[in-house]
Amino acid sequence: MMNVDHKLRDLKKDYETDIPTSFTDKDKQNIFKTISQETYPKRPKFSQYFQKPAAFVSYAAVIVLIGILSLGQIGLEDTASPKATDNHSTHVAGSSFKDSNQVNVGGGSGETDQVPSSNVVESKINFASLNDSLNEDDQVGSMTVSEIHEESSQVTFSGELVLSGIINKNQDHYQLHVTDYSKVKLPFTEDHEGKLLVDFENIDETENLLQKAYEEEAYIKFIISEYHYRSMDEEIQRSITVNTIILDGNYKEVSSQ
Amino acid sequence: MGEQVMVEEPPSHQDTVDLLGMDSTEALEKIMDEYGDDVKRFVYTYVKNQADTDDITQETFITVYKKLHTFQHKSSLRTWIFSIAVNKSKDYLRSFHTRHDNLFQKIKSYITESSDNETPEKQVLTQSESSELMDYIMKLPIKYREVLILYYFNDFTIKEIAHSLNQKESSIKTRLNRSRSKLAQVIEDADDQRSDQ
Repeated sequence: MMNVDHKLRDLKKDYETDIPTSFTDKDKQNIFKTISQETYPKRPKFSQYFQKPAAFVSYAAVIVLIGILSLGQIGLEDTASPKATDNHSTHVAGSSFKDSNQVNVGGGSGETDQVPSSNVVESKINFASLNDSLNEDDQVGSMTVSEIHEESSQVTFSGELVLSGIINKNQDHYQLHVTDYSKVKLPFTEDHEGKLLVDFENIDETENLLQKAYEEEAYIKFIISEYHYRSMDEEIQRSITVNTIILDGNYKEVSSQ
Repeated sequence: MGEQVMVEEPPSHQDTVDLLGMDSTEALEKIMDEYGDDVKRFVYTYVKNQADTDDITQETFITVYKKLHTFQHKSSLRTWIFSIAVNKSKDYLRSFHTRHDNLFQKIKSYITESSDNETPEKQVLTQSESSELMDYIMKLPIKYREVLILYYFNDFTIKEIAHSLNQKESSIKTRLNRSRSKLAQVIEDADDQRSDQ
């Protein structure tokens, strides 16, 4: 071992001569040449000028798309929620709706409950005063007053309008639970803060379609021709005359009764 | 064999290159003048061929140039440069291409050795004892070879080897002793083989 140590110490000169290599000026020049080539920035390709802006635009587009989809999703959830909030909606058995804070709930179960007033704060409209201010052929929003029945305290509005929402069912009776967006299209609904339920006047022939939409909780659209607003003692009854049903992209004409 | 050799530490290397006040290119030139030969020879002990030695040495000094501003004087400049050379060489040896080539070289050298064994006298005559010893060193596994070369031929201290190889000093001491033992064993075996013939 000691012998090996001595041998190795004596070997240094041989290491320098036996290893057949040395660092020459050519090596040095090659290194400087490589460094200079790496140091001088290569002219970027023309396409590289577009890479960053294109990436930025793509990211922005994706973010905007996600935002739009998220907002759409929130909107859909809003419209899809009436089923869940059905028990708190202003529903009265049959086809009428209470305008006061007192409501019947339970989707036909007959069970009565007190619901938060925020859902049912639509103020009662005095038909007498309404009648004073309304005349036939008056334009209310996108609809026209076509008929005023003082005896039945009913106003009929005409005009083609697209309403969307989901189908609600109460004892074999279908109702449209309209979205907030659709709600504001209908006259005299501004004070109604909750989801609005609307009866059908002429929908019996398409019951299968409505049943399907109800079972699937599908988002459905109606093209209506008339909207009937009836003020009763404690209630307001709303109904629509449907021309066309749009479900899953399919149009179904509804003949008038 | 089990005896440990207490070796006197070579004097710690003082960097002769003062980088202060130099720009990077000037500093690199000084560094290459000072350490170029040592680094290149050391790289050769890993890769054992001229072409790859040229490339790795070049890469080493380019890395030195690029990272010179990060050198923190925690170790000597020489130790730092050698650590870069070690890493570059080992990266090269780990590459698939090299593994493939090395396998080919091993097969080739095995065949060559077999034919050489037929004329041992010739070997003895053409090879001096020192170059024979160098040959044995070059055939040691890398982990033993590198410590011997750094310690005996580049005058690195144990501490400097530990820095360069990123190992503990105690590990380097152990490895150095094992390297000597391995080498002694190889020499002994070769002597036995020669006397038998």
